[in-house]
Amino acid sequence: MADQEIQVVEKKELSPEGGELTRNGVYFTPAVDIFETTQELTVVVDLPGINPEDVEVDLRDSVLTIIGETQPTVSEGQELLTEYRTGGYYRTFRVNDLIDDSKIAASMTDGVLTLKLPKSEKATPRKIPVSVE
Amino acid sequence: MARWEIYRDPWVGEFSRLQKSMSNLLSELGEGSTPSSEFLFRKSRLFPPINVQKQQDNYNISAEIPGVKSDEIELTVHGDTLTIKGERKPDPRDEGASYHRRERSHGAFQRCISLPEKVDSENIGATYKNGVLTITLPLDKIAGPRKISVATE
Repeated sequence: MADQEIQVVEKKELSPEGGELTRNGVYFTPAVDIFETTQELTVVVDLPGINPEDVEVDLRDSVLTIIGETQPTVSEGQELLTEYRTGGYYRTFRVNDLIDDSKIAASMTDGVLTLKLPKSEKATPRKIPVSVE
Repeated sequence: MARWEIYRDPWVGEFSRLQKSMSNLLSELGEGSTPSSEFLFRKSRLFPPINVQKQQDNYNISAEIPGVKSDEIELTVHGDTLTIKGERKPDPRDEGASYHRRERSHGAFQRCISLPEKVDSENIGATYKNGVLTITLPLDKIAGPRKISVATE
């Protein structure tokens, strides 16, 4: 079993500092994990409640944009307890040009989007064999 | 004669510095800007946060738990307590991977929710889609007001 307890992190609503979104609705900043190996960069994003077909991933001009659109829910009934808010998700990252734009893979299960960004040829370290003369 | 320049007074400077840092602290409380500030002001809430809704014939409890398999979530009802239990596993990653960001939490979670008595605990249903667990608790129809007829003697 795990030896640590999961922590509750409150959702941070997108603040319009970097420019307002022209879309309607509430957008939150999703939690991400980013890790890097010599071959690729992996970005894992928590997007609960978003259908995979409503996720947009865009990479242009070294900016990676992740948008999760949500269907507006008609709330039927009386809300007794609301501990979390629902809405869309939006986050952007600057990605340097070590990424090979054409080979990005994205997959999503159970509300978690995984992006694999392979590094381009010039970025992967190449071993140069030294011959002995 | 040297004029005493008020704005150079060390006390005034000190107070305005204190006031500025207090207002910075308060604004941070309001916005919750960085994850590090959340450590100080986090309420001791339980994971997962739930939304409870009452509809005509049932209660609906929904919780956002992305990244677990639906057969890894343990839902049990014992008496009038509903328990949601599970574990969010860390991502599989290769050795030698270096993290740039680590914001998603993982670990074990368990939350007990006490149910109102009018719930039909035999027929509780649950679905897990896109990381959202939705539990439907039908209201106990039998517990409605019952008419008692008065017989005349």
